[in-house]
Amino acid sequence: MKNKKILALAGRLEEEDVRKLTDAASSTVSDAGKNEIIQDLSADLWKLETQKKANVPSQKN
Amino acid sequence: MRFIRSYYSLVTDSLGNSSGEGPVRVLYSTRTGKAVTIKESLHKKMESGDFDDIGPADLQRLLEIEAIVPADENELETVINRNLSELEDSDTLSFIIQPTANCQLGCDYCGQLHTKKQIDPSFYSNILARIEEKFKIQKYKNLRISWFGSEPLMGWRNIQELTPLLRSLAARHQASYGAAIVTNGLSLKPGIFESLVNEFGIDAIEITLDGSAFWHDKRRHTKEGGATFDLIFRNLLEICALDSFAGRRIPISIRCNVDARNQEGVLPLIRQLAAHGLQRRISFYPCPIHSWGNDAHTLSLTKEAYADLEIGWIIEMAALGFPVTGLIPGLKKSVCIAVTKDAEVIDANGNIFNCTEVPYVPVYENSGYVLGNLRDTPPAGISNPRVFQDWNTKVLTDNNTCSTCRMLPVCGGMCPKSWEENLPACPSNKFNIKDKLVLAYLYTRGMLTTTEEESILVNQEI
Repeated sequence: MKNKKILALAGRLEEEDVRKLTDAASSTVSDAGKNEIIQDLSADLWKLETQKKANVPSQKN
Repeated sequence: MRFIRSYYSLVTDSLGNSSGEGPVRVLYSTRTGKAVTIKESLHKKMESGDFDDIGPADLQRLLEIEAIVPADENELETVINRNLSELEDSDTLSFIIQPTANCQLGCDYCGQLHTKKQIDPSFYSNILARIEEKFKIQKYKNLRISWFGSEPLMGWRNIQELTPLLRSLAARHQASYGAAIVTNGLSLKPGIFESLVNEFGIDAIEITLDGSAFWHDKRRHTKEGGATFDLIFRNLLEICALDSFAGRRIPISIRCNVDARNQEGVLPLIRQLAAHGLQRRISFYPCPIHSWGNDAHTLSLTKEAYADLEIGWIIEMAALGFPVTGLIPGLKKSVCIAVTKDAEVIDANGNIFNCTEVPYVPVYENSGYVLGNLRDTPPAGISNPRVFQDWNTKVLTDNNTCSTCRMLPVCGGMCPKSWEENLPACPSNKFNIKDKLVLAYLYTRGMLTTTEEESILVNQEI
């Protein structure tokens, strides 16, 4: 990670957020105690992008 | 069977330092374009090849995304064979039509020589005949037309005349019809937009803005040097305010061509788009300037510098609520129309090409890039061989830069013509993929977006 902005954001991961995030991620995986893959990142990103697109207003403001 | 970690797998640096699960990394398999977040413990097992210690569910998933592969597999051969299969089995026929050689703009990096030439209606039957011949050879399910420039809306009459003929041809072959247009946006008035979408089958529009007005107008001016940003931006706002736009959700993407001279103008443009609430209505993507048969690339940023700036733009876009795509690049089995067996570019002079970078560019006029001309090339054939159709095979056999690149499956080589001209075509992903994977992780955790209140504050500052 060379980008300073990324480093800054990653720094945010060092805070309490990290624990929350990791807890949230692991809670979505069955058999969390054994599994070492904690997130299907591609699937989660796809869901998020789809959700964002669906949120495009259907009427002008 | 013995397994190894795939050559086409990348892993980020360690992220986080939680007391619970411990640090994690993002593992990305370019062979499938899939990424997973893994514990540090799994990363260590993969590094040391201790696959026997990986749990069955995880092992299964790693095999599915092909981060782990059979040790005796020739991975490059697998990648290339998949590309070739995709090209052979494509069910979409793409034609790019340049209805005019004319353009109002005099962009200083453009390699095209514009004239007032319009495509002659006598060519219509030849275009249709060429497409018809391709349908005879293969049962395509889709006919995809791209109206491309110079400035295609200066050939608006030709678009109006040709579209019904093309649609009718597609219908005769039970194929769907769809079309996109790449425009400078100057003539894209709301009335034209509605006609394009409602009557002429346009389902995607791309407009170019090279930064906010100060930056854009320095380079994307009229041939007489007049400013264009305000007019284009007003068109964009008026279109996005149309009920028909909101109802149809026609994708409009804003492309921002970037070199060392206008890189400072990208963030102001992103913020200006957001200030008008367009982040929920359009998409935005920056793109580095490259050679267009000229020396435009000499003004470009280095690939590393561009890749670094791009990360900052993505972060800003996410914070302002733009859809953020491409953080985990998907597979690119068909890199461009040049490597296909059937797609063609037709320009207003009737020339036939298999590359969009070539028409109207003087340096390519008598080059091997011209496949023929509608006047004398029979519909079933071409006068010159399709250059670059052997691109994939060359990557497999010639041991070139792409042959050893871990990004090959999600890049495809980017631009065979560029490589041919000894200009490395590598996209920004090659240089910032690990940063993008981290961003994807942060994005899915809601850590790149600001709150609604913060967005409003940002907007008010503009």
